[in-house]
Amino acid sequence: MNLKNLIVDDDEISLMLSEMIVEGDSFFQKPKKFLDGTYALEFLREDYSQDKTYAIILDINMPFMNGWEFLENIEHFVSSDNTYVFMLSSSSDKADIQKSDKFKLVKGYFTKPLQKEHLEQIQELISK
Amino acid sequence: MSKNLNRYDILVVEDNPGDYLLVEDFLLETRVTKNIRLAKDFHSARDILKGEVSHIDLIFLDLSLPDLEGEELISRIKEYSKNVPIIILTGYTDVDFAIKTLSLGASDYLLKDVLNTTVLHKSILYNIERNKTMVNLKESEQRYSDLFHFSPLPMWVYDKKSLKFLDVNDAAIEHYGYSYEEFLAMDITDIRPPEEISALKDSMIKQRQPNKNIYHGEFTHLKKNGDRIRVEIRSNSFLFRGLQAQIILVNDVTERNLHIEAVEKQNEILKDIAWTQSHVVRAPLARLMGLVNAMKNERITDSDKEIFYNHILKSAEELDEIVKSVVSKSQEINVNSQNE
Repeated sequence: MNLKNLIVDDDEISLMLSEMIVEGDSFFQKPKKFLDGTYALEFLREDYSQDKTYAIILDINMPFMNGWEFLENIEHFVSSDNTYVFMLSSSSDKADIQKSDKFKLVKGYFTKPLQKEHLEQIQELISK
Repeated sequence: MSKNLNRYDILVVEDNPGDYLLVEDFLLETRVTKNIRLAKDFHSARDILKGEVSHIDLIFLDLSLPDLEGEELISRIKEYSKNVPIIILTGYTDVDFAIKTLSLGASDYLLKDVLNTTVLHKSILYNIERNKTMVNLKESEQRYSDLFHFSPLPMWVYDKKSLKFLDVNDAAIEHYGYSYEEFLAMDITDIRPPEEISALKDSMIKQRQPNKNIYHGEFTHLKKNGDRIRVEIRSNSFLFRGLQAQIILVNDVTERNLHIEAVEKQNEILKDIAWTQSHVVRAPLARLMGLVNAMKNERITDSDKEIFYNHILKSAEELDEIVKSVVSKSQEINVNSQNE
């Protein structure tokens, strides 16, 4: 499986920590890191292909393009068959969870920090 | 002669002994008397009426007494008779004046020359019964008037045509600052700000359904000192002194609204604090948790560890700042509630 892993988070430390966790898991390749939705969107527009599988770990609150805007921008050109988005937020806000349920692309909602258990869930969903 | 079981205490005020005997005879024959008392002049009549022990149901009054007569006699007697009916005893020569006494407060008049048991009997019963009804009616009117005037909520009555105030109660006078006379010289638009006159006219249309207690909603009224108050208005229509009138009940909700506003403002601050707790506090905390976890990793170098320690310290400081701001926001609430 050609699996691409994206982490989008404006908090540099949080981004670094997420990267370390992902790197420590043999299932995943070295992740691509983005400090804002705009950069991640740019990358995905260039790179997206039906042949690949994408696991995107997405922060909600970001200054230029937040998680929701990012989702709205990609939903018309990516398929939920090969694109798995997981929201990663510092809090488990009910309104945010409900909002994320509305996006077909979103397959999970995690609270920070990202942990090994979260990655196991991601792996399970993708391997199905 | 009568199945009426009630017997009455009668006072006869008469200076002529012959006339008194005549009246007493007829009275005894009617069999409706309990005690008959005689007063030969105004002063002794007054003493009997003033006396605490004496109970009088009906007064027969001769109009010319040695110490007082005519109109003055009637008005003085009325001062002491309270609600007891007065029947004037008179001769043919004074019949015109006797008729006039009815407007002065006498209940009835009888001509001495044609007096007999039947006439007397009928007159006693009729006047006592009618008087009872009148007294009840007066008391009932007084009760309703008291309900209006002593109501703790401001109330008034206005003429639907001219919009003039017809009556206002004590609470309205106290609340709005206008005297009774000032109120009665104004119409209801005078206590409304100009921008609400059209709303007033709309609510007048609602009032066309008669005899319905209508809640009109909240309006702004002006006090005499220019203060604006928010009031809830209820109304009902009825006839007042022959005029199509509207009675208004006012509930001043200015204070209540201010209170609700203050509570809403506090709620905003509390919501803000709750949001801070869950979102802002959680961010550095999550970072700390992640950093501590990462440091368990055996592969990281000493120089990496140094960087991690700095991050931990920075996150801890950030957390401290947030907690301080939550504390100062909570104090904002205390300050607000003290101002209330």
